Amino acid sequence: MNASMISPQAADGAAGRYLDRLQRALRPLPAAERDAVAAEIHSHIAERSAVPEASVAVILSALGEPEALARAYLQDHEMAAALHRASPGRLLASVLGRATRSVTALAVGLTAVILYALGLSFALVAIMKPIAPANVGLWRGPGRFSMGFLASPGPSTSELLGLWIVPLGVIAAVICYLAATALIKRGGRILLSRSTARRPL
Amino acid sequence: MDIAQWSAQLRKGAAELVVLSILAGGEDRYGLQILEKANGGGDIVSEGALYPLLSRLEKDGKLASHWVVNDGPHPRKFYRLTSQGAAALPVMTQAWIKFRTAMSGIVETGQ
Repeated sequence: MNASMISPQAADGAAGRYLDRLQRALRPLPAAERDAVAAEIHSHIAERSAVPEASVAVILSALGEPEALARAYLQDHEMAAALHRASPGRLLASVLGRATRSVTALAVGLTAVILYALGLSFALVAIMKPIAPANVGLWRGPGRFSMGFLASPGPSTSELLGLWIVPLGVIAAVICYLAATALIKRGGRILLSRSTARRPL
Repeated sequence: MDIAQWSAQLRKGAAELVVLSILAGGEDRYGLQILEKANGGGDIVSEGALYPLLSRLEKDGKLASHWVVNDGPHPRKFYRLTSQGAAALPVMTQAWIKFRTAMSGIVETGQ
């Protein structure tokens, strides 16, 4: 039988109040998962209560406060959700926040920063080209090969791309942005799974 | 030092291996059965820790579960080891034996 077919039955008294509080504290979980947790805890309470000398109060106190129990269920869920939702900026900040403790975080964070900076400069070049066509481009001259803004390109310096630099710059900027974002998401996931593995139950 | 808190930390680390070992026999068991078996020889895992742990092991793919509704007075959620859980168990057991041997060598020979 599937877990989603189980719905929590009403329980009376202290057990009912406990399950209500548990359900409320589990609200961040999807409804089916929340119901399955409540049904399992309800089943536990019912099973324990079936013994003649059983005390509901003792059974509930062994489970701990419903909010504390819910927290144990939510930890994994919240971390995964945060990773899913987080903006690249927040992810990058959290990866860099670990950079002093982890070589992986440092490498991932720095590479992402460089890629974002590179993407930004490609985008700037693409934007500046139509504004200052004579001064922006991919330049080649004696001892020089560069991209960007030149205040006074000398006669020996030639521009290689012309207006093509606009679409190419946009494409390069997008590629850099996507690569950096994919990198910190992946890196964030690896760092997260390590901290999950270390975390006590 | 707080001995209760320290031994709680010890038990937390052990709980996952205990649950996988209990289910290694191939028999499906529900939460309370696992709990009673785990604590048969002394307090290992509390109910407040067991149920979230079962949920995490299921999400990790080490356990699978199904509800049985007609077998008792109330529905029960039964767990069994998946092939992934069965593969993790000997690796964890080896790590545990190494750890236990090393600990015994240091801690118990001094007495």
